[in-house]
Amino acid sequence: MIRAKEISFGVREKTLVDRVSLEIPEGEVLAILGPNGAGKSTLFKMLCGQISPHAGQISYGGEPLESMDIGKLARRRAVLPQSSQIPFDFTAFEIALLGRSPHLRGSESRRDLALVKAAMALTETESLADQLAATLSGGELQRVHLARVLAQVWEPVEEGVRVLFMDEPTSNLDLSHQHGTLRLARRWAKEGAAVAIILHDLNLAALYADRLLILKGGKLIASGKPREILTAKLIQDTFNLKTLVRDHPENGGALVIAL
Amino acid sequence: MNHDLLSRRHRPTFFVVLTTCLVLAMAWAASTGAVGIPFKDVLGLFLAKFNLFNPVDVSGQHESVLWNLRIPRVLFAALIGAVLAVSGGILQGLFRNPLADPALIGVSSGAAVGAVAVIMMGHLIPGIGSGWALPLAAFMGAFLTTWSVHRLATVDGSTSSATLLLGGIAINALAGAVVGYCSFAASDAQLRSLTFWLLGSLGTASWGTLAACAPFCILTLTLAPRFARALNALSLGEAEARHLGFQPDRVKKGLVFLVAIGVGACVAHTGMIGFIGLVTPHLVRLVIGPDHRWLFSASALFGAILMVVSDAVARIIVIPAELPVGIVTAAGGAPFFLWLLWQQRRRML
Repeated sequence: MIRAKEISFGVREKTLVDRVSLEIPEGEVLAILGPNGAGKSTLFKMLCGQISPHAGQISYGGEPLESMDIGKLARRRAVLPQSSQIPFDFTAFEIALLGRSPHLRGSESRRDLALVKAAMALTETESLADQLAATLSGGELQRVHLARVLAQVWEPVEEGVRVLFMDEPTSNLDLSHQHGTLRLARRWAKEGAAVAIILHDLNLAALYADRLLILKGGKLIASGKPREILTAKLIQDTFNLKTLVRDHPENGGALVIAL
Repeated sequence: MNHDLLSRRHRPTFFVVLTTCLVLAMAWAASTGAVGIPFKDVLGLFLAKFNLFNPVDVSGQHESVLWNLRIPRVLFAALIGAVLAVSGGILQGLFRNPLADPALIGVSSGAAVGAVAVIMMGHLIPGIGSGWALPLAAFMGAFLTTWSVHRLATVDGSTSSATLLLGGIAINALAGAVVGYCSFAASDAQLRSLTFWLLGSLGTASWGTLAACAPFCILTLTLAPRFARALNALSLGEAEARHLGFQPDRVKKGLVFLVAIGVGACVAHTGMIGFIGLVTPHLVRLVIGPDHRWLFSASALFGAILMVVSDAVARIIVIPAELPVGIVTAAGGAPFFLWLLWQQRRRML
């Protein structure tokens, strides 16, 4: 269980995240939603340990995040960045293989190589394995990074619950890979990981997340199950957009139609 | 593309080729110069020195030239080349920028300013003229410039190549002003030493300088590979490296220290020799890929080859005089640098 208690972060006079509390239990996918500048990325960075909150506490399974060993943390927590420029000519496979770094003593074992191949198969990047990063499209590179991140938290570790963070994982992807990526997030949650994803698409969030967390101006506006909190009024207030919210005809979840 | 991968699978072959070339280059460099020494004498002397076999009679003059001049010189060249190449590789990885080079971003000129200060003011403070003051001053200069250029160019964990290169230009200009003032104010003897700094030369090579320089160089060469995996992760970005369990700040401090020590020791004894640090890691990456675990050792071997050959060329091109080796490396390296820019431009299109 990841728990954040009243965490805040500010730059100079401006408060970017204002006393947000949340919990992500094992086996759940949490989607973080909100308009641009709502503080999603700042909250995300605090949760994954990239920056420290100015106030409040974050704990992973009861252990305070700030006092955790960075190497130990890396064996159980992976972060998918929005985009990452690579200055040298690494191949896609070499990039994905970097995900195994925290687990290595010396060089990669056969098992590490096999596992990275399997991760690349899951993200449909096997055929790109030998290509140089510079020759990949934005979406392809994104999926290679996804393979890297999945390889990092491929299996349960002794140190605690696995945690997977994704920052707008669907931004560069075509429709089928958007769903493919989020299905993988669900799969990791099903196998016991706690997953947090920044998303922009309310329908994707409603389909794949167990709970939503909606931010605006650094403040927590609403959180809960998608069908319970997604209302036309909330969306109007948060995103300033007129919508209809209906029952999803197949699965009974929420379906948001922009007007 | 297939070409790249083919070579990556042939990394061991590349190492065998490099090692062979280095041995050949060193033997060739030892046999050529103002006094030509036949190849078989070089070999014979080596075998005799290690009491293996004594097949040929090497003349006393040849033996003395080889043992007192050529061999320390060739070993010195190899060591300096290796350290400059590895330092270039470190800086490129650290700045996530293939254009970083100890000379280009001002590290070497920082070291030169430190060394020049000792030359100019050495007589004012008793004892400072001893062997240790020069490398120490060069190290301080190198360390300060690496650190400040890095601080200048890095904002929120990402390093801007433009700021980096501009910072390097500014530091080079500043160092140029200091060195220029010194040469203006220098006595004739001091001027000769100063000119030597600016052009770069291995003319001071002897068993003594080799012994003074080697500990620092070996420190850099042996410790750099420890940071290889961290540098691989760092090429994804600082935040990504952190998420993979590395501590970018600690890695940076360690590497800046290693570069400053290595480059400081080199510059203290040889002056400024450019382009080896820039060119070598590039050529190596083209063949075996950017993985730092192989890059450092391959760059060390390749840099040693380039420096040994450049120095031999510098010694024979204007016999009986000797060209400063910095001129040779610049004459070879600058066109390569232009080619590099051209390639990058084409890649961006």
